Amino acid sequence: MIYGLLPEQPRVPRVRKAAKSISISLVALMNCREFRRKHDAYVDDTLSGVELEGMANHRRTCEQCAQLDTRIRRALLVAHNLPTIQPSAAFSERLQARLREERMSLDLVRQSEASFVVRRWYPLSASAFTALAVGVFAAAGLAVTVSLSDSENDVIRLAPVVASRPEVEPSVLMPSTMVAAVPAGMPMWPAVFVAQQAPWHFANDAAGR
Amino acid sequence: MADIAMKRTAQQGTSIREQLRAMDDAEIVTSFLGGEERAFQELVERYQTRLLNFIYRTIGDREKAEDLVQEVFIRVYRHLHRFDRSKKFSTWAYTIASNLAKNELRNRSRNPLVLFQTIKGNWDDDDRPLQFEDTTARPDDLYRKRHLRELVAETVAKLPEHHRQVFVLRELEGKSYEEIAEITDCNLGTVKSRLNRARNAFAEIIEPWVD
Repeated sequence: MIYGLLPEQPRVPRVRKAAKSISISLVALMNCREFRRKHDAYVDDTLSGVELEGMANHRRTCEQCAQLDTRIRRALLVAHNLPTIQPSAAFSERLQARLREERMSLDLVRQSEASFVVRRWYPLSASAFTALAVGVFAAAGLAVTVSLSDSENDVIRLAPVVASRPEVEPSVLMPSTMVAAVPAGMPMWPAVFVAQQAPWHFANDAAGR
Repeated sequence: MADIAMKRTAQQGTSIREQLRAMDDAEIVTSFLGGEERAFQELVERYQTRLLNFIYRTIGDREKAEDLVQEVFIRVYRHLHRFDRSKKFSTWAYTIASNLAKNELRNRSRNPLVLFQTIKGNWDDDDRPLQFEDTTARPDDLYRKRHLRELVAETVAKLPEHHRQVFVLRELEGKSYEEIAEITDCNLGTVKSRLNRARNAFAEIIEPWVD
């Protein structure tokens, strides 16, 4: 016996057995909750064969779910057989009249749009074009006249402007002597400051000068 | 593409009406935008009844539903050049209708007088045209049809607004979940959960009448 060939034969029945057991377990394990969850698809007939079998089997065994299924199917049957209503005789006439109005208003819009485009491409009427041409000629003539006229008389002469540097006024707080003393260091400061603040009238000589 | 198809069929001797009827929505839209005004009439014929039923079942007022359907077509006519032709025309038209119906319900909730008049109008038998009914049918059939229509309309009207719209689109208009999500501007999960609640609520309300 060659062992290499043996596994090939039993494999097929084993797989088939597994698929069959899955379908059997699906049918057997179906509960009311699952039945209700899948019921829409059951009514729409969009379930797979195995699921369909499971639903049918559960329906056979569960009276409550069977009643639910019957109730919904019967109600939907009534709804599906509902006679349709037809538009009234005046419906078509009214619609045609409204469509005519709509067509006219759309035509008006299109015409106004078209005329706007035309105006954009040909913006001037004959009279406006004439007026514009006259204006252009007048402006050109004026320009030529100005350029040919004596320009000497037209020049406006103004008085000459002399620029002068304003004299720097000595600051009361920061006299020029003090400013000049800053880079030199502090020794000059008290002296200058004291000299400035000194009561000069006490420093007069005996003659009063 | 639609123009080529039209020229080809025109050469074969068929009328423009027939050519338009043979086209799909996208081709009709292309034809209309190419200057064929009659293409719009084809769109109206295809969608007027569907949109009328959808709006009527959402708002419960036939006269107002007709007004709103007209408004849908006017808006479609006005904005068709802006319509994204990679999408489905029907989804776009239903989206406009859904928005108008929602606005109408919102306005009614602000104005109780209008709501009362609408309910009164629905109750009054004289206001109900019977054009949808088959005149060759027996009187008891007519009665049953009318009774059924009233029953479903009243039951649908009892659903909360969000659930009602999803329910009408799915059960009465036959739209896919994806289309409903697009029309109502909700994600797929919301549509599924709303539809589940709406189905259960509808079944519960109508149960005593159908047993």
